[in-house]
Amino acid sequence: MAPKLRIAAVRLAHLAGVLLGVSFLVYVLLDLLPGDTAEVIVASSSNPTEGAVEEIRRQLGLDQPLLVRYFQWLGDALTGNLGVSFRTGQQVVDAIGERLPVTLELLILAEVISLAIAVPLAVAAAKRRDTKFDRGTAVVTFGLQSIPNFVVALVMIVVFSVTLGWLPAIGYVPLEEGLGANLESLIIPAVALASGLVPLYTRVLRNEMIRVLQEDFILVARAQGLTSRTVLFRYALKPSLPTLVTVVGINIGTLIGGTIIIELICGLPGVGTLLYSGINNRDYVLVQGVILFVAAAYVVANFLVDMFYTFLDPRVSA
Amino acid sequence: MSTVLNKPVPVPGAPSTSKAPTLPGRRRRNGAPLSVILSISWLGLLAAAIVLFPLLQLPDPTRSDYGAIAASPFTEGHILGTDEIGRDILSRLVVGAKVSLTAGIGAVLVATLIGSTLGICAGFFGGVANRVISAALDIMLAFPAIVALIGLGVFLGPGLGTIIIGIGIVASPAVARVARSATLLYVNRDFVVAARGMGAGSWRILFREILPNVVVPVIAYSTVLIAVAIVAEASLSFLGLGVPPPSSSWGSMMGTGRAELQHHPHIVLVPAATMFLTLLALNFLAEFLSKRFDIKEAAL
Repeated sequence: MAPKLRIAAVRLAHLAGVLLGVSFLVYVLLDLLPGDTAEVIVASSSNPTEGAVEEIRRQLGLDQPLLVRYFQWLGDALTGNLGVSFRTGQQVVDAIGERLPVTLELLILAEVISLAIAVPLAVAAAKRRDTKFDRGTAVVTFGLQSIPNFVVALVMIVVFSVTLGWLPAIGYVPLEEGLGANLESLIIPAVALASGLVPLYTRVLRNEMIRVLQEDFILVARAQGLTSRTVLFRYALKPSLPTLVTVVGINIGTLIGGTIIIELICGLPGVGTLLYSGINNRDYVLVQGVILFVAAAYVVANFLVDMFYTFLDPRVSA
Repeated sequence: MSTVLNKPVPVPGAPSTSKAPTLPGRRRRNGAPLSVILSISWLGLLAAAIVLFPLLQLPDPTRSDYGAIAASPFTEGHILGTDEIGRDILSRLVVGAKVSLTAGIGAVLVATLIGSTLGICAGFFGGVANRVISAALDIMLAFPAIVALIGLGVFLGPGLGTIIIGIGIVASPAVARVARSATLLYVNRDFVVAARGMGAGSWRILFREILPNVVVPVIAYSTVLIAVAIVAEASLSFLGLGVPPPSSSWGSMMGTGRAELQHHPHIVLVPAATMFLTLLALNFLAEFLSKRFDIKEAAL
């Protein structure tokens, strides 16, 4: 087998192992939580009867041993069935599918905004290394890094929604009701999420570019009389990108978990708010499903980044 | 130990790509830069306010002043104003500082303890131990942190102890990675081989040769983590899952003040600004320490 394919196979096996571990952890942790699902269902029904708890427990298979239930749940999950939310009676998969576009759009927008700011900033800072501009960038990104993203969201709501009235404070407008209104409803949450990413991306790319700019091939390119713009963007930026891509990949996962608080503040019906309401309602079937989904998304995103790295890097020879 | 602190020895075989170019002129200056002095002053001020709180004669942080509900800053008797039910914001900030800093530092202690134990064992023993620990860390990293925290909150009941343990556990894989990569740098060095040759056992080498060297990068990294842990605590408290009332934390002050955002933004903005200054100070300090001890971000 070609080395690259073998690396891919090994990573794939590793990915499966991690997912198995996460699923087991999710299942066992939520099983240990106080508050039996059957009791919650009975308590919330209109006419709780004697023996109803036992009945529902049997119906849901909760009288089975933990491991049996886990493998049943896992088997169902593999076939795309994450169970039914007992609060809403909705299929968990459908609930996630309904909420996912909102979160996905938010994440993509946040990544686009942060890269659109971070890449030019990092290139400029690397070019003018150790000048006032470089230090100024470092100080600004440093300050930005010290503001939690939910504080950014709150301050933006005060300034742009309450005081200036330019943007809606909360709520989500679906894409079908017009792109403009849709984007307006996502600007504050997306910028708030991006505010945490910009400092990280800028610093990583700046340091990597400074390293690349010291390589011999840059010296050769300069000696050939290429303009500094060409050297910077054609020669130096490209070999610096894989590092940035890795950091972006790692953070996609963290972002998925971290959107909960931003979605709550801005009133977005995304996966984060779904999870939050599931936890508040003790809707464990829903919570298990969403966590498994989020963890899978994180692991798969990291796998893709790894593969991108492996297949593009000529040093990992075929 | 002091030679280790002052000049990091170049390690043959260490990944050269991880060497971030140092900034000349910024490193070689004698003494600490102004930003670090200001940072330490701010943190010192917070610590002093927490310790001297009984002597400061501030209004009771849990008592409502019904004559001054949601008063703006610089009102008489309330320098930073009052919140939505008339409690003095300055004294609540000081109480909140205690909670936030205790949570931040406590969680980092827990994370450092768990993380460095796992990381050093993985790096030092290698083989099966390394593989098992690495797999466990990967699983923990794939688990959404805030979910784990909320779950633990439900399980252990709300409170400062839960927050410290929860954030500590969630943050430990990051420390473990630092500790593991630092251990790997030293495990085949001459002085370790020499110690082994002279008949030192694994545990002796671990404690006498490896640990003193690994402690330095781990401590520098922990400073970064304190800021992260404070944000995590604030996020939980903001969601109403932190310390139960009437105790306050910066996060819960912002969380309850959110409803008044439209008319009395100072209830949210004052704790937000305090938190910003604190995080900035911690970040400056962490940056200074990691430059000083030559921690390479890319190597993590």
